[in-house]
Amino acid sequence: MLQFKLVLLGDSSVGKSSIVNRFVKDSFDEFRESTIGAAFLSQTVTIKDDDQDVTVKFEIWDTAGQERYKSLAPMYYRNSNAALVVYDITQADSLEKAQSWVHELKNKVDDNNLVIYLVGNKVDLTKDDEEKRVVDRDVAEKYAQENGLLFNEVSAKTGEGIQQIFQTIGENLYEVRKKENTTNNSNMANRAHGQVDIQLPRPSTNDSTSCCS
Amino acid sequence: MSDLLKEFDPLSQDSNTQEIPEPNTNTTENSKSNTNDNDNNSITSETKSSLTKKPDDRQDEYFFDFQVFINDFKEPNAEPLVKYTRSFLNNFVTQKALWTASEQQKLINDFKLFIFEKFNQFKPFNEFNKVKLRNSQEGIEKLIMGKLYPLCFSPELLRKMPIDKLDEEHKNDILEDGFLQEKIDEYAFIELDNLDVNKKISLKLGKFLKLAGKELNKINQFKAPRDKMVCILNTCKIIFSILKHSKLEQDGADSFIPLLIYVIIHGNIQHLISNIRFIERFRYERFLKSEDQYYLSSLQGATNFIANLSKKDLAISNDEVYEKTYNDNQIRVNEKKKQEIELGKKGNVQNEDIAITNDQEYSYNPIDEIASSMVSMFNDFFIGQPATTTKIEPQGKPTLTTVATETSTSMPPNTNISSESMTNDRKIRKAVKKMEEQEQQETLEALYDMFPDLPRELIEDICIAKKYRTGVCVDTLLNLYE
Repeated sequence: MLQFKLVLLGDSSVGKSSIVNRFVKDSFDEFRESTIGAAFLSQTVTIKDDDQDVTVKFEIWDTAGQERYKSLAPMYYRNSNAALVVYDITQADSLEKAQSWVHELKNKVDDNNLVIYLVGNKVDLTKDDEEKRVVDRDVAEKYAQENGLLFNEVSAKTGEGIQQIFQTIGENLYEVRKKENTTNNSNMANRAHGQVDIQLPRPSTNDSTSCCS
Repeated sequence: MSDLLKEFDPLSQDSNTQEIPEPNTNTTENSKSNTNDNDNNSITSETKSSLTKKPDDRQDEYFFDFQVFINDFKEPNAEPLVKYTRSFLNNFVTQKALWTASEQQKLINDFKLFIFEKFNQFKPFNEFNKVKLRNSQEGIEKLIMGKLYPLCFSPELLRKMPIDKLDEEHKNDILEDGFLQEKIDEYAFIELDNLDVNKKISLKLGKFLKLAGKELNKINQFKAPRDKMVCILNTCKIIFSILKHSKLEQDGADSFIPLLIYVIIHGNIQHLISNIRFIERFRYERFLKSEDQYYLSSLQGATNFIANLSKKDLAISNDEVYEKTYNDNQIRVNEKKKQEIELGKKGNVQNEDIAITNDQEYSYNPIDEIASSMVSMFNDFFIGQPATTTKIEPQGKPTLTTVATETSTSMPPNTNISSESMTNDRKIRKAVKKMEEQEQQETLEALYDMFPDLPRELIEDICIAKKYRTGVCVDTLLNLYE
C-alpha cells in the first residue's frame, strides 16, 4: 500500500472540510474513522495499473482557514505529497486567496513532484441560479494550466466530482512514485537527523560494567 | 570516573556483581513488581486506551504494557539485549558530560535501530508478532528515556547546571519556554471571541476547556516520549468532544486550532516547548507519524502563533475595551514579575543547598513515579544483585540522585541503610496513591461541574468503568447528555 500526505488549504468559508468529509464518507472503501477528530482523516482509493489494483492511502491534514492562522500552514504542508487548494466559485476573493496558497506552496515546498489540485467548490449553488457564480470556470482553469495544477469544479454538498479529485491525485502520485523507483532506489536513506556525525562505541555484551571502581 | 555516573547510572556501580541473577533470585523483585503492576495498570490505562484504535480500523491492535516488556526483557535468553542496553547507557553517560540535543537524538536513535535489529536474534523477541514487537520497542524507548531523562529534557538539565553551561539547543528550549510564558502572560485575558472561534460554541464550555488544559498539563508528569504524546492526544480528544457537543466537529481545523490555542493560553502549562522538542527528538521516528504527527504539529503551530502574537492577530470588536483590558492585564503582569524577581532571589539561596525532600520530588513528578520505580527494579537486575527493596528507591529517581550528586561530594553510592529505603519506598507508593486519588477526585469534580444535570452517581460509575480516562469519560457523558 502506498501512503501519501495531502494538505488541505483554503479560506474558512470555502467548505474545504466538507470536501474531505464527503470523500471520507462516500468512498467505497471501508470507512476509516479517525481516532481523535476530524482535523486529521485518512482514506484510501484504489487505482488500476494494467490489471493490478493498487491501494493508495491518503493522510489528509486539514489547516485552519482563517486569515489569522495563515502562519501555521508551513507546519502542515512540509513533507506533503499533495495539496488540495480550495476556493468557492461564489466568492470572488476566494480564488485570489487560493492563488496565494499556490504561490506559497511553489516557493516554500522543496519538492518538484508536489501535486497541487485547485478545486472550485459549491457548483450546486449555481445549478439553479447561474447568477451566483462570480468566478469564471475559464479563468480558474487557465490559471491552473499555466501553473501546472490539476483543476476541477465540484460540490461537496451533492458529492459531484469529489471522489474524482482523490482518484486523480492518487494516480498522479502513483506515476511519480513509479518513476522515482526506477530512477533511484536508495534516495531516501539516511536523510534524517541532520548532519550530526557522531557515534558511541558500538554497544557490546562484554562491556563489563566498565568505569572506575 | 565521574561521580555523576556513579550515582546516575547504577549500572556502573559495583563492577564485581555484574552477572545477571538467576531467575529465582528475583523472587522478591517479582513479587514486588506484581504489587506495583496493579497500580501501574491504572495509570497507564489511559495511555493504553488512546492507542487502542477502533477494532475495524486495524486488525493488529497495538497495546502498550511496560510490565510485559520488562518481563520479556528479563528472560535469561534476552540477556545479551540487556547487556547491550546497559553498555549503551553506560557509554552515553560516560563519554561526554553534556551532549548537544542533536547528538543525543542521533545517539539514541542509533541505539534504537541497533537494538531493534538485535531483537531478531534473541528469544523471546525473535518469536514475537508485530504487535508484541511494537510493545518491546516502546518498552526500550521508555526504559532508556526514563534513564536518560535528566540529561535529555531541557528543564531537568537546568536543575543541574546554569543555563549558560548548556548547549545551544537545550538552552534555546529553555529560553523559548520563557518567551512563550511571557506571551501567555501578556495575553492571558484573551477570550474565545478574540480567536475567531465559531459563534456556535457556547461560553459555558469554558469548563471543558479547563479540563483539556489540565490534561495537557500532565505532560510534565511523564518521562517517556510516548506518554507525553498521549497527553497531547487526550487533550485534542477533549477539544473534539467540545466541538462535537456544539455540532462543529466536521469543521476540522477551522474550529480545532482556535480552541487549542485557547487551551494553551489558559492552561498554564509548564515547559511546553521543551516537551514538544523532547518528543520530536526522542520519539522513535517510525512511531511519530500520521495522527500523532498531525496533532504534535498542530500544537507546535499553536505555540508558534502564541509566540508571535500581537494585536493584529486577534479579532477585536471594540478597540477601546480591548486597550483597557490589555493595559489592566499589563499592570497585573508587571506586578507578578516584580514578585517573581523577589522570589527568585530567595530561590537562588535555596538552590545552594539543594534540600529537595523526597516528598517534594514526588509532587513534582508524581505519575511517572511507579514507572520509575519499575525502571529502578530493572537496575537491580542490571547490577545483578538479588533484588531487595534497598535498591529500589534511590535509583528510582534519576533526577533526585543526580541532583544530589552534584552537591554532595562523591559519597559512595550504596551507603543507604536498608530500613530507611524501605520506608522511602513505602512512602513513594503512599504518595503516588494519594496523588492518584486526588487526580481522580479532581476529574470527578470537573465532570460534575460540566454535567450538572446528570446524577453524580452516574458520572462516578462512568469514571470507574472508564478508569478515569478523561477523554473517554467526556465522550461517554456527552453521548448520554444528548
